[in-house]
Amino acid sequence: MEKLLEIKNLCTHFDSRNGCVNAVCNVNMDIHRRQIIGLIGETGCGKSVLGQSVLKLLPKNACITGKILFEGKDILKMSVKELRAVRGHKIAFICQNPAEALNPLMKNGTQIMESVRINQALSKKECRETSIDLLNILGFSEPKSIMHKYPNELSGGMKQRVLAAMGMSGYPSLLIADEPTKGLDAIKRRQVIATIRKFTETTGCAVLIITHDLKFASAICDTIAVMYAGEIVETGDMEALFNDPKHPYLMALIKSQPCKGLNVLNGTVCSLIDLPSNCRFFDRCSYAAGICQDQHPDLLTLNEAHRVRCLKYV
Amino acid sequence: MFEVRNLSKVYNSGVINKASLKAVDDVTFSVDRGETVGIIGESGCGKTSLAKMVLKLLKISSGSMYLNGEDVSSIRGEKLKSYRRKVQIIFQNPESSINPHMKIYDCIAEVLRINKLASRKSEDEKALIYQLISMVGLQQEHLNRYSWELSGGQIQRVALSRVLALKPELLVADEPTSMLDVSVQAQVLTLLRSMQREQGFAMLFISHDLDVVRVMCDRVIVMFMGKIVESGTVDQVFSHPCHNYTKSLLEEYECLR
Amino acid sequence: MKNNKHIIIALTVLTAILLLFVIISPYLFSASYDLDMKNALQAPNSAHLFGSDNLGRDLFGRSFIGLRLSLALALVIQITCLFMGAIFGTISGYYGGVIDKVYIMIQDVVMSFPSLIASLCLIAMLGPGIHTLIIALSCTGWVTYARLIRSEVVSLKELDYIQGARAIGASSGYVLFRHILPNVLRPLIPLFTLMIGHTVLAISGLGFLGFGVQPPTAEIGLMIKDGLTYITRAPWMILAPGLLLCLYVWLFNALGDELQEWLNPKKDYLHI
Repeated sequence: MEKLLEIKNLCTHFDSRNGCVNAVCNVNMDIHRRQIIGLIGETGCGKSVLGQSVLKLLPKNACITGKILFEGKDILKMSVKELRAVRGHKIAFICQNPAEALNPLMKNGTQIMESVRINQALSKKECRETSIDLLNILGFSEPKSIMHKYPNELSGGMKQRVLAAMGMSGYPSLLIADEPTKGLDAIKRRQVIATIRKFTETTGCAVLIITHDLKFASAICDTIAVMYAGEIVETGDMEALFNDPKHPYLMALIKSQPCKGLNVLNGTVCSLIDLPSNCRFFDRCSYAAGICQDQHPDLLTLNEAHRVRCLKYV
Repeated sequence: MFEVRNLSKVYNSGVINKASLKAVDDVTFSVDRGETVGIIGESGCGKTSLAKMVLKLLKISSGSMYLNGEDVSSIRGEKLKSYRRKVQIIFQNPESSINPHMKIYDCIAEVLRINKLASRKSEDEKALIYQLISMVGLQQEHLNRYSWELSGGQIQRVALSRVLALKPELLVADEPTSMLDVSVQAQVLTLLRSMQREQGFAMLFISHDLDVVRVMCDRVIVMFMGKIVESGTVDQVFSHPCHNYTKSLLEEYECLR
Repeated sequence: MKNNKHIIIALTVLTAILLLFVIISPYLFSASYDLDMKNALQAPNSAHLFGSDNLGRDLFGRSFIGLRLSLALALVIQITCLFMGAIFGTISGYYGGVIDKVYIMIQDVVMSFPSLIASLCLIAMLGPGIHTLIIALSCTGWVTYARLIRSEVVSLKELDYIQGARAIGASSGYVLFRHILPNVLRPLIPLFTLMIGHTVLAISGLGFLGFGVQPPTAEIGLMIKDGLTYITRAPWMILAPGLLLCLYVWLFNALGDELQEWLNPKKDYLHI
C-alpha cells in the first residue's frame, strides 16, 4: 500500500516557565491510503499534540523537529500558502465539539455550499446539488429540508454529520478526528462511528483517530498505536493488539475497563518535564525487572506489524 | 430508606408564547440502605435535574421525597441543613467542582467548619483532614495546591473526601467518571465502592455508560424523555429488557464490542 | 509571563512614589496658594518648574495639590460605587426573581442618562461643593460595577462548586462571601483602577464647568479652566496640570491591566 503520511522522528516540545515539556518524543508512524489508524492514550500523553503537529496547529512556544511527509512533501517546511492548500482540502478535521463549530447565524445549506465552492470551482446550482448529494451520502433522509434549517434545529449527531459533509467537500485524502467522542453518550458514539465509516467509504481517505476511548477505537480502527508519556509504546493490528496485548501498559489499560473487571492500574504518569532515563512505565509496571530500572527500551519488532517498546521481549 | 414519589420538574419559558418543558416527569423510585441504584439514559433525559432535586438544589415542581420516612420535599432552615448532611453529591466535571481560588486544604476544611465538625485551624481539624485524604489516597503535599494543579482523578478524590467527612446516608454520583480516562475511571470507581463498603451509604449512580452501571449497581432505572421507562435489578434489565427503548439502548451498546 | 511580574513591580513602585509625592504635596508646596502678581504668567524656569499662573502661583505645586484632591475624591467615590455595586449586583444576581426584576428597572433608569449630565443635574439641584460631588458621581457610577457583578454572579452560581457548597450545608451568606464575592471582585480590580482614572477626569470636567470644587481650592479642572483664558500667552497653564493628569490616569490604567493578568489564578498553569 502507498504511504500517505510519514512521520519520522517527530519530537515536539514546549518551553514553559517550569522547564521544557517533552510532549512528543521520537515518534515514527506511517499512514497508508484508506487506512483507519487509532492513536490511543490517556490525558497528557501527547496524542493530541501529535495530531496538531501534523497540521502545524500549535502555539508559538512549541518546537517541532523531525519530518512529516504528506504525499512526499514535508509539512514542516511548507510555506503558509502551501499549508493552507493542505489544511481543509487534503487533510480534513473532525473536531471535538460539533455544537460550537457551526455558525449559528447561517443556514446549514449556506455553510456546506460555501465549503464546496472553496474546494471546487462550480456554479451556485452545481454547488447546491453537490451539497445535497453529500448530505444524502451521510444518511440524511431529507437533505433539502436540512439545508434550509439553522444549526440549532439539529441534534448533536446531525450537526456532526453536517460538519462531516463540509469536510468531505474537498475529497480529502486524510481525515484527522481529535477525540470525536469525548463527552458523548455511549449511544451517540455509534452515530459518530457510522459517520466516519460513511466518510471513508465515499471519499476513500485515510483516517487518524485520536481517542482515549478503547471501545470506540476497537470498533472502528484497523491499526492502533498506543502512546504513553510522549512515546509510542505499542503498535499493531487492532485485533492482535486487543486480543493479545504485549505491553504491560496496554494490558493494564484493557483490564481496567469496567467490562473487563475494573482492575486498578495504580500510580500516575511520569512528568513530561523531567523524564526518567529508564523505562517510562517502570514505576507502575507489574512486570518490572532489574534491567528496566536502568535501560530505556527501544521499539521492538515482534512480527511484521506488531511492535512493542518493552524490555520483557528482548 | 430514601423514596421519591411522583416527582416532576417543569421549566417554563417565554412570557407571550408560554412554553413548558417537562425535564422530569412523574418519577417514582426508592433507594434502600447501602444499596446502589443506577440511573441510565441519554444526555438531556432529565438525569441531572433529578439529581439536583434530590439534593434540594432545584425547586420541585410537584411530587414528594422522603428520607427515613420523613417528608423532605419542603423543608427549610435547620432541617434542610441536617438533610444536606445526610445527602451528598459528586459532580461530573472536575474542572468546575472546586473553587479555583481555594487551596485543597481549605476546600476540605470548609466542610468541617460549616458543619461544626472541628473548630477552625485546630489540631483536630488537621488530623481529621489528614485522615480523610489518606482514605481517598491523596498525599499531604496535595493539600497546599489549587484545584487546577491536580488531575481530574485527584479532584474527584478531593470531592469524595469532602463527602466522606459528613458520613452521608445517600450519595448522588452524577456521572463521576465520564470525563476521566479509563485507568483513572477504574481507580475512582473502586475507591467509591470500597468507601461504600466501609461507610455503608446508599448511592444513586447516574451514568450513561452501561458498562459502568453494570459493574457498580444493584438495581437500575432507565430514563427516557424525563420518564422512567424501566427499572429492576441489573441482571433483569440487562438480560431481559422489556421496554423498546431499553432494548435499542442495549442493542446499540452491544455493537460497540 | 515573567516580564509581567517585573512590569507590575515597576509600575507599583512608580505609582507609589508619585502617590507619596502627591500625598505630601501640601507640605512641600505650602506657598502655592500665595499670590505673587509680580511673577505672574512666567514660563517654566528654575523657580517655577511648570511656570506660574495669572496670579503668580506656582503651577508645579498647585498641580500636585490639585491632583491630590482629585485622587482622594475619586477613591472615595469609587469605593462607594464598588460597595453599592457589590450589594445590588450580588443580591439581585444570586436571588433572582422579583428582586432581580426591580433591580434591572433601577439599573435601566440610571443607565439611560448620560452619567455626566445626570451628575450635573444632581449637582444643580443640591448645589455645588465637595459633598454633592461625591454624592452625584457615586449615584451615577455604581451601575458600572453592579451590572458586571450581577452577570458574573448569575453565571457563577450555576457552577458545580457553588452548588456543591450549598449541598454541604453552607448558608447563602457564606456562599456569597466565601465563594462568589472573591471570584467576582478579582476581575473588578483592573476596572477599579480604570474607573479611578475616569473619575479623576470626571471631577476635573465638572470643575472645568464650574460644578465641582470651588475656587480658590487647587483642582486640575479648575486650573485648566483658568488657563483657557491665557491659552495663547501661557499654554503651560493648561499643559502642566493636563499632562500630569494624563500621566496618572495612564499609570492607573496600565497597573490595572497588568494586575488583571497577574491575578488570574491559572497564570502558572501550563496550556498545551
